Amino acid sequence: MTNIIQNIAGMNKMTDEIIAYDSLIGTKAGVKAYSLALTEAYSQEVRDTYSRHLDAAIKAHEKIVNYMVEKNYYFPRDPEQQINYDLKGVDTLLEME
Amino acid sequence: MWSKILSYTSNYISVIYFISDYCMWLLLLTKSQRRLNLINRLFYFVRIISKIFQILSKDKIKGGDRLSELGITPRESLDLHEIIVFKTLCATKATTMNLLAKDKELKELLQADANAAKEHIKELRDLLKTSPFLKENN
Repeated sequence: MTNIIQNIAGMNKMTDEIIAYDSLIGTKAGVKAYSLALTEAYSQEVRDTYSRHLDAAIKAHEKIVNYMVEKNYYFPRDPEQQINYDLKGVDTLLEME
Repeated sequence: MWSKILSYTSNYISVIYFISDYCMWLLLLTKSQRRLNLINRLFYFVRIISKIFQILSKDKIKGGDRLSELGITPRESLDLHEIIVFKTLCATKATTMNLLAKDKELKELLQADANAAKEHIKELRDLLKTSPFLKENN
């Protein structure tokens, strides 16, 4: 069923890896946005909310990174492999129509 | 061999001393039970009193009702607005990608992400509603 939807929408290149990367970038940006906003906050309630949400965002980032390392999408301990892997991704993009 | 036996006996003796010491200590404890009880009660009483004072003075320390009176600051409303827009985008993306993902684990991650984002957005929205930029707050 999902295959049919993807083919109709022209999103058959949308693999799990891309989705996971997107989620990773999202959580990263979330942590940055929250910490920047926290340094501009003054009201106690706003400050508490930011701090709670920042904790949640950090936990979410940890989960997604662990998932990606487990699935061999992400190599924090091997820069050479990471660069080669990402260059492969670039090639895939450039070959796309 | 003799030295070994001696060391054993000395160990044994020290254990006996230790036990007798412990018995003495228990005896003393039961003797001074009343005093101990008194001290205990005093300690808890003081703790409860200090807690009550903490609760009473919390408003002064934390700035208490500032939010319900004056709302959030202008700068905070800008940041809150930015984060709400970003979070809404993320939650929408997570719910959409949930349909496209094939891996079960990834699906669960995205679902949890979307649910948490919705809760967070609700809280942020309630804060943003106290913004001084909104006409109903002026």
